[in-house]
Amino acid sequence: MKFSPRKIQFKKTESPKEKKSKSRRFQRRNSFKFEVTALITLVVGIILMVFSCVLYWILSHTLHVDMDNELKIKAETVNQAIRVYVDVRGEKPESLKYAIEKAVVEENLHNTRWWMFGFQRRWSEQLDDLDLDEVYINFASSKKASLFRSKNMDSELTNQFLTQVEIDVNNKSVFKNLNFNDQRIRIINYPVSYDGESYYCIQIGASQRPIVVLLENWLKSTLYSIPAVLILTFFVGQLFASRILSPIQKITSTAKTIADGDLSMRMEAQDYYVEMNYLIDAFNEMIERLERSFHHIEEFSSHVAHELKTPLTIIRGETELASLEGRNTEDYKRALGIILEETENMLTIIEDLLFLSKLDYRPEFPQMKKMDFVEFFREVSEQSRILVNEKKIQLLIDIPNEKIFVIGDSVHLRRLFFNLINNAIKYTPSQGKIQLNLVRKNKEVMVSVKDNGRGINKEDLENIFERFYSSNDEDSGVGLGLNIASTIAKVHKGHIEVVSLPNDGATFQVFLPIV
Amino acid sequence: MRKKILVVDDDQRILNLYMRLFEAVGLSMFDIVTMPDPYLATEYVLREKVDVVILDLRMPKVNGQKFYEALKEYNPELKVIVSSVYPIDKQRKMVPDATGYYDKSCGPIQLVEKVANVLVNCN
Repeated sequence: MKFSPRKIQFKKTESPKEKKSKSRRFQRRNSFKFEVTALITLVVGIILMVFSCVLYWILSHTLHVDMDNELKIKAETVNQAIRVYVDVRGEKPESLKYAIEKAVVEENLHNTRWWMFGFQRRWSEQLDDLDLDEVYINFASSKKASLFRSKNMDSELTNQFLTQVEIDVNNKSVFKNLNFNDQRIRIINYPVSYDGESYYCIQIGASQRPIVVLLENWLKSTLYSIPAVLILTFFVGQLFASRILSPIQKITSTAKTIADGDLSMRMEAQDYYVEMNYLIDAFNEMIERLERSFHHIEEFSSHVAHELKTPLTIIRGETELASLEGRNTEDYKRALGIILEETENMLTIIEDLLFLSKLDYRPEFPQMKKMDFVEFFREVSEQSRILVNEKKIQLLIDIPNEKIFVIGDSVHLRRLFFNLINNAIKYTPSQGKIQLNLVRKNKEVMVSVKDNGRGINKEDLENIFERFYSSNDEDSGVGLGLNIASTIAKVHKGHIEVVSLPNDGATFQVFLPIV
Repeated sequence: MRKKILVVDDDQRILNLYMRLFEAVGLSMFDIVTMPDPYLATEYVLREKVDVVILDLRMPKVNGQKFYEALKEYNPELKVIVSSVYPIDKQRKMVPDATGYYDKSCGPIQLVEKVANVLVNCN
C-alpha cells in the first residue's frame, strides 16, 4: 500500500483561521459596539414602556372622569328642567309627572312640537341641547320602581338599572358600573328630593364603548410602534457607535504594525473626540517608551555580550596558545593563571549585572531599616584603612560625634562606599591622600570621598555613572562599579555628585535623606 | 626584509596575548608592535613603515571607523585587519573595505592565519 500522509486522520484541531472567525463571532456579540447599542435600545424600550403605561393610565382616567362629569351635568340639567317646569306650572303631581314624561320620553321630538308655544317650547329646546338620545334615562322611585324611562330602554335593561339604584343620604351622586349585553354602562344615580320628603332618583347611563374603543386603538398603535422604534434605535445606535469607534480601529491597525516590529510608527491625532485624542497620545507615549526601552535593552545586551566576550576571547586565546607545540610548564602555569583571572572577572561581571537587575526591578530586594549612619560609616572607614595600606595612602577621616539616622540597607550602602573608596584608591598614586568626610546638610547627610589622583576628564564626568561606561584608562574596568554605587544611592532616595578637575583629584559626594 | 605588524587594541591583556602568540608560532621574523593608544598608533604609522595593522574597532577614546579612515588617508596602501568581538558581518557593515576581518572570539590561531594570508598576498 502506498503511504499517503494526507490520508492519515488527525484529531481535528482548529486552524488559526477557524479560531479567528469563531472568536470574531464571539466578539460580535461581546463587542463594545454591540453592548452600547443593545444597552441604548434596552433603555429606550424601558422608557417607552413606562411612558406608554403612564400615558394609558392618564388617558383612561381622564376619559372616565370626563364621562362622569358629563353624566352629572346631564342629570343636573334634567333635574333643573323638571324643577323649572314644576315651578311654572305649580307644584302639582300632574305637573311633575308631565315634566318627567316630557323630559325623558318626548325629548328630541322636533317635528311633533310645532304646536308648542312660549315657555313650553323653549323648555323643550333646552332639553334637546342636552343630546339625550345617546344615553339611557330612568326615573326610579326610592322603592326601586321605574317611574319613567327613555324609549331606548327595554324592560330587561330597566330592571338592571333598578338593581343599581342607590340613594345617598347626603344627596350626593352615586356612580355605578353595569355590564349588560357585552357592554359596560356607566350609571349616575342622581338623588332628587321633592316636596321635602319623598326621594326619587334620576338614573342616567351611558355606554363606555367609545372610551374602550379609543383606548384599545391607542394601545394597539403604541404596541406596534414600540418595536419599530426599538429596531430603528438599534440601527441608528450601531451607526453612531461605529462612528465613535472608528479611531479605535485605526489604533488597532497601528498596534498591529507595531506588533510586527516597527516601533517607529506613531498614531496621528486627528479630528477625533477629545477622549480619543487622549488615548492616542497615551498610546504614542507608550510606544515611545517601548522604543526607548527596546533600544536600551539592545544596547545593554550588546554591552553585556562585549564585556563577556572579551574575557572568553582571552581564555580561548590562552588555551590555544598553551596547546601549541613546544610549550613548557612555565607557559602552562601562566595560561592557567590568566584563565583563572578572566573566569573570576566574568563571574564578577555576571554577579554585578544580577545585582543591578535586582536593584532595578525588585523593589523589595534591599532590606531597608532605620540605622545609625554615623556609626555605620565609622565602621566602613575603619575597614578601608586596611585597603589603603598596600599603596601607603594616607587616609583622613572626619566624622562628627552626633547621631544621624537614615533608612537603608547596610549591606548595599557598604557596597556603595567601598566602590567609591576602591575607585579612589585605584586612581590615587602611592603615598597619596584620601579624605573621607561626613557632614549633615539640612535634611540630608553628605559623605564625600576625595582623592588626589589624576582627576577625571570633562567628557568622562558626564557619563561616569552610566552603565558600562568606561574611560580610556587601562584599569578603568568594565564600567559597572560607579553605576552600582549610583543605583544604590537612588534606591535609598539619594544621589551622588562628582566634582573633579584634571590632575586635581576627584571628589564623590553621596547624599542620603535623614530620617 | 622584515615585515612590521602593528596591533592597536585598548586591552592590554589582548596585546600581551598576541605578543606571545606571534612569538610562539614562529612569526618572530616579523616585528610585532603593540599600541594601546590609537593616537600614539597614528603617530607611529606616520613615522614608521608598517605592513599590516590589526585594529580593534571598539576603543574608548576613538571610534574605530574614524581611526580606520584616518589610517587609510595617511597611507592608502596600508593593509588593515579589523578585529573585534563583534561578529564579522557587523564589522563589515562598520568598515566595508578593510583588508580582512577577524572575530576575536574565534581564537588567535585564526588571526595568525589571516595575517599570514595578507602578507603572502602582499608579496
